[in-house]
Amino acid sequence: MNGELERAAANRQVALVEVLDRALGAGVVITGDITLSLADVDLVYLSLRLVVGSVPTLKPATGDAR
Amino acid sequence: MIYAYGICEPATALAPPQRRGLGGATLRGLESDGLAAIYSRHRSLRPRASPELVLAHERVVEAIMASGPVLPLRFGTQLEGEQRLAAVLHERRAELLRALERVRGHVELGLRAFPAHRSQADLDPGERTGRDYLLARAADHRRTDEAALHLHAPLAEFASASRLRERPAPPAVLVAAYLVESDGVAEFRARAEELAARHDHLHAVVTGPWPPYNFVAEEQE
Repeated sequence: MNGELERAAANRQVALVEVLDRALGAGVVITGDITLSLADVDLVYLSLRLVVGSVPTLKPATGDAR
Repeated sequence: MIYAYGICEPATALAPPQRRGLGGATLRGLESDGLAAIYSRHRSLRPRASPELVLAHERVVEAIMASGPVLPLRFGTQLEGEQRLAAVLHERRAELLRALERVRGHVELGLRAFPAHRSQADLDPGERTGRDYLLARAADHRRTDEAALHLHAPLAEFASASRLRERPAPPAVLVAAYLVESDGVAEFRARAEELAARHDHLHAVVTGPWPPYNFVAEEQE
């Protein structure tokens, strides 16, 4: 049974998504001073989310490499 | 050019965290009018939102949180210099002081819930029909409503404040954040586990404690 391991790996991915959601999507915004434009953030955020992947929710292990 | 990480109390800024900021820069503190901020100086900085830089930002904010209440700044906050940072603290003083009071002694916890089994909607497009997809999406929405009712509502009751994302991105059926007293974290986790155990078709994950990113402003109603 690798269910526990898989769950632990899924939970780590959740934690990274949670960090990105917070640091890129929440927090105090100082208008006019962020040189990283909102469009940039959206793009980068999207690509990071793709890198991190959707959480492999307890799918049976099939070598899913996302 | 300076890069700012978080807003805190003057006492915290007197002794900035003993760690490095973005690009290995030294952390500095600036006080203005009973408020303060932690920042670093950079000759030039174009923070690309790589996971490493975002994590570096996050670690600094967590280090600030270890010495007192903090209002995390969004990743990528750069200003011309210290004067501009002091001006921002001055202009938004009342709002920021209220927010610091609100988060004092609290941490943020995250909750994400997923279906315990993959839904049809997660299959590759080639593997499903349009009808399958719509049915699966409807099922996801039902699970979102259910998770909100059975997991989120009781936890929101326990927390000092909460935020529920209206349309969680699949496969998540619930994404929420809670402002919880620091010494209530263990109980929050226990409650979340107990609630999740009653719904075995949901897999729930509690994350944190996080700096209170989602509670820097009053709830918009």
